[in-house]
Amino acid sequence: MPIGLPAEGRRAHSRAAPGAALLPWLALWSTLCTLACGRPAELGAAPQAAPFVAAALEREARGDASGALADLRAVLAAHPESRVAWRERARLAALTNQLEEALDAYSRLLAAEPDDREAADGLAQVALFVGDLERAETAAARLCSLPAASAQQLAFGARIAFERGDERGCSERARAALDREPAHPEAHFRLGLVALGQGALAAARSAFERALDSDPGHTGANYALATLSLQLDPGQQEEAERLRERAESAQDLGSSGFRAAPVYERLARAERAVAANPGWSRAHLELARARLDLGQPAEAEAALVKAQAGRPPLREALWLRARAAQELGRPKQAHQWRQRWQAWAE
Amino acid sequence: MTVDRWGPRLQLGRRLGLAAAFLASACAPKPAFVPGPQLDFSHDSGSLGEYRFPETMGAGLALFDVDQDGDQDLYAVQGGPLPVGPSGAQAASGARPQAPPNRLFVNQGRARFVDSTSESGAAADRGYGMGVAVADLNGDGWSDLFLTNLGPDRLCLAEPDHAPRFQAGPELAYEPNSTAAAGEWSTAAGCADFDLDGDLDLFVCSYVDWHPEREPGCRSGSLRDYCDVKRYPGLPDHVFANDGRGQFREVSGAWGLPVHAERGLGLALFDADLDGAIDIYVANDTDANRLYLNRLASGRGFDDQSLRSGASASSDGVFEAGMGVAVADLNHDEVPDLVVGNFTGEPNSLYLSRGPAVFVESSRRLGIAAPSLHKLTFGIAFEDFDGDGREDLLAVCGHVLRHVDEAATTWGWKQSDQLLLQAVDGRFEEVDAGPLLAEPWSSRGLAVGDLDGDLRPDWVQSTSSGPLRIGLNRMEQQGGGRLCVRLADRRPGAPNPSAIGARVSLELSDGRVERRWIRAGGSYLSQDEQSARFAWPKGLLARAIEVLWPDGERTRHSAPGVSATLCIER
Repeated sequence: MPIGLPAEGRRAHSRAAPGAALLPWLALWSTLCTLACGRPAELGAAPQAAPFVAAALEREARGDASGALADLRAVLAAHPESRVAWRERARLAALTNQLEEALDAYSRLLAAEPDDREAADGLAQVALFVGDLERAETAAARLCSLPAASAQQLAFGARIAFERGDERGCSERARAALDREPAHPEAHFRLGLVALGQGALAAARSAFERALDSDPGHTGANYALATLSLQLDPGQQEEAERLRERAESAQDLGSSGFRAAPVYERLARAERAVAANPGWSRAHLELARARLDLGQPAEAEAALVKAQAGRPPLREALWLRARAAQELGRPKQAHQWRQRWQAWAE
Repeated sequence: MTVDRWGPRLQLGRRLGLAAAFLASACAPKPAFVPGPQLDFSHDSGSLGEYRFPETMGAGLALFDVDQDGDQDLYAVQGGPLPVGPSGAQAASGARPQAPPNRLFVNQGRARFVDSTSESGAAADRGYGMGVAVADLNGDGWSDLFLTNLGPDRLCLAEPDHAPRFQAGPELAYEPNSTAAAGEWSTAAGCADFDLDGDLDLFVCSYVDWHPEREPGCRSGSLRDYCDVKRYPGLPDHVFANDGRGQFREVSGAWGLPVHAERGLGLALFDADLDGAIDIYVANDTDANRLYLNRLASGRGFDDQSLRSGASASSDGVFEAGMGVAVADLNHDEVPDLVVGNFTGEPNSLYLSRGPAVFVESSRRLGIAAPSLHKLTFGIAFEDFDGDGREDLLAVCGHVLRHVDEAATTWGWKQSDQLLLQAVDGRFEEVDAGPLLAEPWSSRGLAVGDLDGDLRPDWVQSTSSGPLRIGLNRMEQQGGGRLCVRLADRRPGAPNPSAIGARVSLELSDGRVERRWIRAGGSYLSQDEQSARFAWPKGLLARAIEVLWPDGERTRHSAPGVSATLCIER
């Protein structure tokens, strides 16, 4: 389920939530309230729901995402106007594979606030995942029309247009993404696929190369370039095999099975990815994560230095550096890394 | 009074209502397919509630003319109790004396089938059945069967003087240290003359290394369910050479077949690089699809050109869950194009040729991706169902997870099937083909052929733990015609009498050339009718037929001006 990943930082920032103990009572009260109040109010801040939402997030941080989702349902039954509760419910529903619920929650958010980028993005992603391309396109069109749409969101819109067979729309959105961020790998990749479909092989090759300049671990660009290299020059077998290996290691590290694998297996797979693609930050980061899980913070720190030197830049590397510093007995340094992690988000 | 006042109005209203209903029914689109006869067959997955992986993969079926009376008979592969010994380990022999048999239904004409299982010897193989390929493997002029099993595979040879009867053929001979010798899990099989010696050789896909005692135990949501295929290691495929009399020996190593331990489910045998030798395309489940180019003539064996071909992964570089495969020359460049059925969340992959053995993934631009994104497609077939001169796409669907609805309500274990018609611009569009295809089943195998003798392609599909479903084509063609071409090599001693591997081309009056191939094995574990079926629309004429025989000889024939079945012999 590639929709979302539990953010490590959320765990760190979870705090004792005053609403936690009241959640069972809230569920009962919410039922009564729903019966009495009838139609839900429009979405808004609903400050009275905040402690309950925080309690649900704390439960998620303890590793119980399904329980957190149940809590949020209860919160929303009592406070159907709470935008933040709907947002977290949508995210958690997607995370726990409750896809219809996620679609519904994102749709509500978007209906209440048509300029809600996060909701449009989430709706488009879940709709694409379940194969509802029309719904995905509606959300993507909304997203891409917003002046504040990010390069990432525009590139995702390009992907949805591509999936629908709308090559012109795909190109327009990909170019808009590149206007925001000229090196955006996914935008270059989509332009490469459009060029490939049109038989413009040189343009396709150039676009795939640009995608890999920014993200050496881009699965699709590695694979497409491997294939194209062989088609253009069968003598390029060695280079093509190298790219294929990179594509496959990237596919492996991105799979759901990788995170669920035992730590020694993750370590071995991350080491293989590093060997195949030394400039790829994600491979070093996963190696560092496995080292940390094995209680080897010094080795993890060394891997994180390489992750930070590689491409693309990864915010998670800052968080893991804080964790490594903490485990190495350097709390001040750990604090600094956390601050940098926080600053990135802001 | 009230009644008197309202009575005539009510009567008028009823009449108007009836008239509206009549008009609505008259104007409603007629279903593309109507149900054929219900046969006394239900697939037995062998499920005992323990969610053993083979139970969910279903079985294939074959359409072929077993008694040579001109119509298509039906062979259905059966499962039954899993070959598990008393200790819980897999029984090495695969034998299960109490297992329900594979079944043969002989067509008495117009799609009226008679169960001929007992007198045909179709029940002789008691393996846990998966797939079937049909070909005359010993050159006696009668179609034989190759059956793949969870356990040892079986060759069943037709008895020419006692049709439709089969007898067990000779055992396969394996190379030393062959993994196939132990009776592993085979899936798709196909036949072609790989070494160009005239007789038909055999290619067998292997799936996963499954052992009942090592079943991991998985869940969908809160319920016990089948596991992800990635929990089981893949197995290498195998190729066998024919000695000309139907005795096969494994030549995987000798012919340089690359050893990839992958999860094969789909197979297409065709000449991808137009060099006259039949190549091999394997659709793997979550592994890279493979294209092996046949270089046996130059002593180089099979050359793995998967990466260069562009047909081994999705356009995003992902190895998808490949199931059934179908081929058609959609862009009229002589090189067959490929479609592979995939998992939910993965569109079916259409690989359009861009020259010999080079493909570009074109599912999106040709409209195949969007309708298939929420489907798990098993059986798949290209066929001109509506008779407009362009091949359409039929895909039968169903999930492998019994309780997938628990995890994500969007997809069900049972799914409706899909008919996509090809438009003038080459794009495909899903159409409402009526209630038969809309009815959800967990479908697996698919075979296409003319069951009722009206030249329109019908279909049969197998379902997991369910019946065989037959769809009779009722799509009306305005003018134009249909042609069914069957080939026969009647030369004395011809080792491939049914011309498996031949290409049949029909030249139309607008200059277009439509091509079909005679193939053994295809779709998902199944066998289509072995004929070349064409159609042309009103305003066009069929000009000429060219046959490219498996040995490279070309013959030309005039095309009949009207719809017909034609048998071309040499």
